[in-house]
Amino acid sequence: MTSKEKQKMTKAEIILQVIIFSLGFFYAFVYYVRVPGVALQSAADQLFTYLTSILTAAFAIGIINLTRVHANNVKNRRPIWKYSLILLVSMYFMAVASVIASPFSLDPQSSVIPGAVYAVFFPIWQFLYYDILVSINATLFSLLAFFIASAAYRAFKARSLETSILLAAGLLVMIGQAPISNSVWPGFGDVRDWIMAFPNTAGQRGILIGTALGILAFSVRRLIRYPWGR
Amino acid sequence: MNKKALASDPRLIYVLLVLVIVVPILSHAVLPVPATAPTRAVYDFIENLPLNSLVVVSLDYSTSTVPELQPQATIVIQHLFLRALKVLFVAQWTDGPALTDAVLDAIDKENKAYGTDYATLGYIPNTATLIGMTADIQSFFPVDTRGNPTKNLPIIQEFPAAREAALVITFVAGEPGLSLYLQYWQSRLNMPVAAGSVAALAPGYMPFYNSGQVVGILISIRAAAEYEFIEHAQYSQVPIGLSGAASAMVSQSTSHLLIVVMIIVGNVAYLVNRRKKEAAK
Amino acid sequence: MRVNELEVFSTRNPILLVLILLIFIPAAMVPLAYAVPIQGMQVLTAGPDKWEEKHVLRPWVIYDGASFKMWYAGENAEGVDRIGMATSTDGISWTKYSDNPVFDVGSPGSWDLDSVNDPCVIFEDNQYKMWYVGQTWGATAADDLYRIGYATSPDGIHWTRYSENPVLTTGSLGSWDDRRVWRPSVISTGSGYVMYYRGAAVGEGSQAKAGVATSSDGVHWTKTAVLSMPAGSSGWDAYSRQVDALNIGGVMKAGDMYIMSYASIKARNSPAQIGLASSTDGINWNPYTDNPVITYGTSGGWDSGPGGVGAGNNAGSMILAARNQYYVYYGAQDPGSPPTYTIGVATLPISIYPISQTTSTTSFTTVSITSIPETTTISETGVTQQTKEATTTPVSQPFTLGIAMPSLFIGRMSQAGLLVITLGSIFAVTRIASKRKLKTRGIPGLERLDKWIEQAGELKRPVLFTPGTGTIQTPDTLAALALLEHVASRCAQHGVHIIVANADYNVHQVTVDIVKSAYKKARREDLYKDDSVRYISTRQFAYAAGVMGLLRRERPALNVFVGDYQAEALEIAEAGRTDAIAQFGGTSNVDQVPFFMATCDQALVGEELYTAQGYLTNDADAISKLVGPDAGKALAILLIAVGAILVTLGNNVLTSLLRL
Repeated sequence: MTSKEKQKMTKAEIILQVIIFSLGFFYAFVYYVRVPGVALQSAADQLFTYLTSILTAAFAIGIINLTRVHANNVKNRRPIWKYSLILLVSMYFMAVASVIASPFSLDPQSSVIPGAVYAVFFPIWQFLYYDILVSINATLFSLLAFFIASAAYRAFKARSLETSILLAAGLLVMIGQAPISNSVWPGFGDVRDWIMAFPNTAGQRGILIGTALGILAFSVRRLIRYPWGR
Repeated sequence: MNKKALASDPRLIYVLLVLVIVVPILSHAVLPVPATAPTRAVYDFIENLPLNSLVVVSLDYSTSTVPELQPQATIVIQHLFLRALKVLFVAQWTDGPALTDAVLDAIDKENKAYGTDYATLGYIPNTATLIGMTADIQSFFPVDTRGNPTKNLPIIQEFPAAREAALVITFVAGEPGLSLYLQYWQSRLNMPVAAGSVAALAPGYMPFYNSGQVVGILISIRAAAEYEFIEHAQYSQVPIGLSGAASAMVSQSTSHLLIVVMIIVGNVAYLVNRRKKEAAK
Repeated sequence: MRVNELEVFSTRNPILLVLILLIFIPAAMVPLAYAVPIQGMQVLTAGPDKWEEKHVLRPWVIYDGASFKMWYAGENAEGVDRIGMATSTDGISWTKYSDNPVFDVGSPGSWDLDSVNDPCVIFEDNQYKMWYVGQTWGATAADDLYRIGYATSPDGIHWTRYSENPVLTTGSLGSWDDRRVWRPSVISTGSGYVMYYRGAAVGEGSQAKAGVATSSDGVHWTKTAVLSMPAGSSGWDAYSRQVDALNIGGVMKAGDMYIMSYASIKARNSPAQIGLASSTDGINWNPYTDNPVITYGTSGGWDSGPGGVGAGNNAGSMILAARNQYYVYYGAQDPGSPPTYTIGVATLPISIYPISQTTSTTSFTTVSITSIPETTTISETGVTQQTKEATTTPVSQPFTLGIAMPSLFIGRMSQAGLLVITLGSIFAVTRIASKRKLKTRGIPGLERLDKWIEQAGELKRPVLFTPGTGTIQTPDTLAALALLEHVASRCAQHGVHIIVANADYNVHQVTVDIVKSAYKKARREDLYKDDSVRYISTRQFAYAAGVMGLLRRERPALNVFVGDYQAEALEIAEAGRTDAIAQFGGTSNVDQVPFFMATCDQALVGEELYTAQGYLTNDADAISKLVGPDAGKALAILLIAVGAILVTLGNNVLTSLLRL
């Protein structure tokens, strides 16, 4: 949206812009003003709930897209079609099993679903969830350990003064974090605490303040003039 | 060791890392860790809660951070059950209810009865529920995760509103999590909040601890180990291996030291190479 | 309909900006705004004298139009209470009378020989009239007898007991107050007196009720009613109402309305909080809708003890109207072991219960007095002089504006002011910069982005764009989508296939729209494939696994990771390093910034992410948008520096002003 392309707004866009503007500023206004007797804050919260409800309902789009893409893969026998098939089968099976027999079940006390069905599905669900899903997720997260190691090895090179300081600080914090360093010298923990509490927090706060100001200017601009019509 | 090979092929690093982590765990080595102040603060706060107070426990993490936060949750919830406290379980992440059940299976519930001494309410779907349950639990959670109507549960009859809780503990791996409790429960209603956090987020939460808005923070699996040792010292019936954190401490030490050694070695190689290049000019 | 040249919806529109200012400034300034519950500040501490070294309790304050006087009970190490006095010109900083206690226990054999406390003083007919509680201790605490007595004084310091004390005794055996009566709160009605008091029955703990008694002369009383209080809507007093206990603090009369302060607890062991209630007849009460109004502290302060505020038998509370606001004086426990009770005050705006009278008349009906007889024996200063608004503050006290408002309100007001100033400076500087075509610092990464896209086109490899794992509500995601516009159009121009991998279905919808229209505009619809924009998974690590798989299979030449990222960022970035020519990242999540710096060839950090889109379009207007937030940053630096210096010197002006 530049000044060179002074786009005229259509009627619909103007109405939408007015709505966006007033709702956005209403929400901010409510934070600063309390009028006795008028439940402004709960109105704003209610508004926000409507919004999130609408957004949440769109999860169906995600499912449709996934099904379509992967069914296409299977149909056209693309190189990865076997994995797409596994994805589709496991996705739908897990959904059904969770609805029947899990802490998220729609019928936890088996009033509608016969107990025999529950008894079949529950162990399968437990196995899939705790033994496969939790394990795979934990494994993927743990991959980070290796990536951090290789990234650290590559990045922590003393090329200049700043990177040398970064290197020294990083080493001190890592040594302080290792529980065994306490036995060697208790001061390592204090050094680490100091580095985390002072230079680290100061730097983070600097970034946070900059980010907050950026968000402020960005959001106000969007509220005033959303760049319609790409 | 050819240092150039290290730089170009990270797989060597990975192999060393695997060895250094797996061997201590398989050998069940245990490393006692002294308690740090933020962990101690949580322990003391729970230890000094008046009898029969309500504690709300919120599991705000997913399956991927189970290795880091489940030990914390296990050991803290065991502490809550050892004392005469009433506990309500909620979750802001969808995996929370299932993980709550896993924790409850792992601990010794000390003859506490479901419904009277503790209850699992389930998933908090939006902020409106989070705010609303402080005034009236029953209208926002008409049934608990086991299908029982909450109005029949003695614990809800005794504490119909969450704002009566003496403490809120959240085990958090991201948002939604601690910030919502601070915003709506702590700053509006003055409810004490404690947090157990993953290591990556802990630096961001330390300012809240320093300013007193959060009574204490448990940082990563290390805090779980610290907590386990303190708890074992006071309640000897709690075994040291309960949360699995204590044996992870040795792995943590060795892996940290390995990375430190690697970085130093890498830098030495880098500096030596640079000198050679400059000498060659 | 065409919009005229002024461009209504534009940041250049001064009218619009004025409108924004108009929303915030008056809204913040109007004292209609307040928020409860609030915490009070400590005004009176125990000790150092022996007679009050353990606790100071149960304050009672009167205002005579010019200054405040307080009578309170001080407890010594043996548990004996005596009554002391203190004075103040502003109700906040108090000076204890030099010769305290002013009222000692009774002589041996008298009904009040063991302890005297719970003073309730009114000034009427040119003398001070006090009702107080005298205690006779029994073998155990349950056998202690509390009864109410009467005394008068010409100066508030030298008291003469009434000859036939006690004036209010416990009820007959079996009545609701047959064990003890205490906490008198007396109102003069012109034709007589009304007393509110607490009573407990034999066998009851602190679940005491409150009752009313009337008298024509102040010494002969007839008990008339027992009070009951309806429950508050928020459940703050659930337990107290359940056991039907009313911890009445003090009652005042303002015009035709009675106002009461009382303490209640929500559950059996919860700390107490203070609420207000009003009544037209003094018997039937309505709690204030936003109760509780005063709450306890939590972080180790004077009011953060387990009992809460105004609670139990010891702390007490009372309310008075003075200087166009309400002052609630109350006692609270600190978290020491053993805890110490001290006295504090909280001020509330008069709009809670608006009174038609002016500030000089308070709870007693006589005309305001500006001089008090026999002041020569009082050593404090400023009793008779006209008080001025507190313009200087003692360094150790929190800052008061002299028109003391609830601290939460001050915080919101100054926040609003700060917001207005920040926004104003950002947009003002933006305008100046755009007019003057300032040269600003560049963002190097953005310049290389175009080159990398071109290279990708030459190599006939795709470009991967991931807008992060945030929802459509996250600012980072919005900034990423703004960048996607630019990247998609460049890709279309250079004939490059773009792949977008989404973690949120709402973001997915928007990205489909952006990418499709970018290719349409450049007339390269042939490059857009059905699975160009795909939704992978909302689960963090499933998404990471999906993207890592994409990277291995599609082998893009350029990876763009911009947006809201959590832990999966490093996995994606490291996995992408092996094959990609370049990686371009950006996030404002401070935890992930180090990983981005370590793995990306160019990284946008923090606010650079938000200004990137403007920068890319490369004209003076947009460059000035980079400068704008710098003005805000300069302001922040200034405030931090000034505040840090002030706090180091001991002055809390800024922190109190800006505290939430």
